[in-house]
Amino acid sequence: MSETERMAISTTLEGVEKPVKTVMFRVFRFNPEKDEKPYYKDYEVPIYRFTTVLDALLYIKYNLDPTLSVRYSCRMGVCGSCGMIINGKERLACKTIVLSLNSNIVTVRPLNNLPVVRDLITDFTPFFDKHKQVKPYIIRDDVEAHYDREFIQSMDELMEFMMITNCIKCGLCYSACPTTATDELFLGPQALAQAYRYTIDTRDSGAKERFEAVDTNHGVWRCHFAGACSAVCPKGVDPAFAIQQLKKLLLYRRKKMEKRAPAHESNKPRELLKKVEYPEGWPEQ
Amino acid sequence: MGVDVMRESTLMWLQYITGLAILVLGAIHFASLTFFQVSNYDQALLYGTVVGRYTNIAWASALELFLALLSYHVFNGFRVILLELRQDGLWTKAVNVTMFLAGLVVLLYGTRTIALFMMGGGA
Repeated sequence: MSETERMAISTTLEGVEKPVKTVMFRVFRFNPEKDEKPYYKDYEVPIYRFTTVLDALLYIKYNLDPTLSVRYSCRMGVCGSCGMIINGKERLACKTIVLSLNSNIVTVRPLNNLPVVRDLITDFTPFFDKHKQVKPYIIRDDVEAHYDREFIQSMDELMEFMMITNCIKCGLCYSACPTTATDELFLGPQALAQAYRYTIDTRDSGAKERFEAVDTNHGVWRCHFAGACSAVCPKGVDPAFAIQQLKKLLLYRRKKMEKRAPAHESNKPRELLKKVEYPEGWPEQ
Repeated sequence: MGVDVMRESTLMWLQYITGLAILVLGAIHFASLTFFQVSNYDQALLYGTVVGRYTNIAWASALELFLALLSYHVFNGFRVILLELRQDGLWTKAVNVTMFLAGLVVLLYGTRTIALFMMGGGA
């Protein structure tokens, strides 16, 4: 084997079998039962081509320091559990490739605007409380709809809020929001975007209830349109846009939205369900 | 600006409207003192010229309108800033009431000044 071939193989294997480099991870540590105040601890982690920040944190946990606490679940950017601040920006640890940060030191700390439970884990209670306040579900009187029917909605109507349905409630927007940082009662970008998403949904008739929740001293009007929420969203949701749209609804279409009749139920059974063959003994649908 | 007298959306709608009106009226006001002024700009600010302007009903009305727009816009804006600084029921109520009263005092005092000058008196 020539030297050139050996070099080629060596280059190919680098990042697969051999680490590309070693990166210093500066990790926020705080155990409220033990520590008086938070501190940063450094760990050296070998980085391969596709090592994510979550991989690196788990490497630290399994090999260097088992006391490190980190929350994660799906490892593929769907569950929204591993949100944290990586090199000063809100990101999902499982979606952030270490080499893409282009830095030999990676600083990792918990999300802003939420109480720290331990190390990188934050308490999402305030976030979800605000999410619940805006009634993030379809509200209509005829809840007892037929199981095999759907409410008629055009593709255009669906596309009006489709983008916002991608929200995974990871809390990155909530952490990045400058208003949330100063006003702890501010509903936050995620809740307000959801308020818009359900209000604009033609199947919904809960605009009045939702408007009461957002049209308050600490509601939608406290958004200064900084746009940080949209800049950090890992799913491409644009909460800043949704909030401005919600303001428009309140100013120009409030009465119309409050009186809007929700979309009707289809008079035809869904085709998909007609094809289902139920097992023997299955209750008659 | 009252305490739960108006919806927040109504207050903010007025905030935007007054902001726009201040911009338009401010531009007209500035233009009246410069481009549309028969005499030069130095004379526009002489005591006699200013008092003379107050006695003109059109000028006095425009100044009163300007005062009303500014009183609302400034104190409601200040209220919004203060509400973001601290969050509790008492603070919210205190800020709302104080800003409403402060706006009212400025409006009334300014109106008094305009009215007195218009009637030939002084502040």
